[in-house]
Amino acid sequence: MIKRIGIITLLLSFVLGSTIYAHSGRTDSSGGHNCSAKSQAKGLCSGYHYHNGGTAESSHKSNSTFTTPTQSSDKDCSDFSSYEEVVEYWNSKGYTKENDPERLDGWGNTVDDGIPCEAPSGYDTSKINHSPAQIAKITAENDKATGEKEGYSVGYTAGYSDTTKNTSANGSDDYIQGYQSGYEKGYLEGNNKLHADKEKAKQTGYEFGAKQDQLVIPDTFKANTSLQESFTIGFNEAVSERDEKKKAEYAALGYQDGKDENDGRPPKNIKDLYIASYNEGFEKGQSELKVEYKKQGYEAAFTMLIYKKPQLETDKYVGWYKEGFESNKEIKEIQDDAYNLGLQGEAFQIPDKYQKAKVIFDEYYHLGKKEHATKQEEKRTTATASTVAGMGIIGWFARRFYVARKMAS
Amino acid sequence: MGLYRSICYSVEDAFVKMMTRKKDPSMVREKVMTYRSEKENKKYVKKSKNKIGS
Repeated sequence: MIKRIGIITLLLSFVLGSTIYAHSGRTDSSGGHNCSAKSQAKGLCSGYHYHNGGTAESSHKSNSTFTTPTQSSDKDCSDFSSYEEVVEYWNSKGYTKENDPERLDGWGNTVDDGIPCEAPSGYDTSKINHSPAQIAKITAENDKATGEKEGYSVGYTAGYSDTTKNTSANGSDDYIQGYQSGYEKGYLEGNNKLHADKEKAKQTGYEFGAKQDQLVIPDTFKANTSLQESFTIGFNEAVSERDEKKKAEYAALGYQDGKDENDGRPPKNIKDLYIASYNEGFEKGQSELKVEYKKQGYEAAFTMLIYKKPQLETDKYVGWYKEGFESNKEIKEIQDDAYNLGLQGEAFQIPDKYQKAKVIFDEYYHLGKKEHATKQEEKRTTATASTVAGMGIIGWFARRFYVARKMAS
Repeated sequence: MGLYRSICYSVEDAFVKMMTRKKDPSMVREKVMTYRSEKENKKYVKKSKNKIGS
């Protein structure tokens, strides 16, 4: 009996061998079966599950397309200790859902899901050769790479032109993501390159400006407006610096000429702004010279009672001297103070602040003193007259009293 | 000289009046007039002598 059962089982397994899926266990009429304890232990499946869509038809169909294994080393899912081993084997053989001679993916179906055996829940199926997940992953990576490349190019151009960022793009999400990433990178690099080139253009412009006044932009920088501007800025900066230096030189020359009483004519064939600086310096020199002579006249006013024409080189200096002499308003104050001091009959004493005007102070003090003496004399005369008059009146009244007394006795 | 003499007389009258409050005014007036007449006469005589002398 046991032998019969063994023979029948052997025959059935031989006949229906092709219905066995990636892991051991046959499917039922619905195309599914319960996971065996062995497969569960290996993590290949769990509980009741379907294969190939799980229909009775597929089961029947699979029966009808039954084929025997092509190799004696044909493996099924129960031959592997883990699912990683299954994937490794699958990948090493270069199997795909179309090329699955060992029927690890389904049971002899030419088209299945491309996943050998039963992938554990949450398993990254993109590791599986030619799996839909892997194909999708590769496509996404390719899209992203393409987007990055194209975005970088556009971004670099935009960054170098220093235009506003515009990361909008059309395509798959991965393409757009790659495009934006590449654009940002390209924009930054382009912009950095632009700044470096601008700095270089500015420096070149500066070197040109240090040598010449005429602005000639080299062809190298003509292609880009920003570079042209930088070159021009550097050029103008150098020209400006050179001009400032020259202006200072001509201003000093004009100043010296002004001080030395030269003709005041600037050198020939120089820029108008240099001439202006020369004239400015000349005016300054003349102005200082004038101040000097005016000061001399001003100081002289402290030592003279009346103006005396000085012995100076030119009439212009004499004019300035006189102007300074007449502008001295302190003299009037000194004269008044000295006169009042004398008028009050005070003793002669020059205050420290008037020491430099001793002559004037002395003169006006004595004028005041003289006036004081005259007034004193007038006062005395008036007092004497008053006394005499008073005494006369008293005498007259005394006489009248005397007469009255005589008449009354 | 008339004005001066009038002023002198007025002042002298005031003094006399002040000194003779308790005396008879008519008698006092008589004395004053007598005194002044004598003075006038003396003055007149003196003037006449001076004129004759010159």
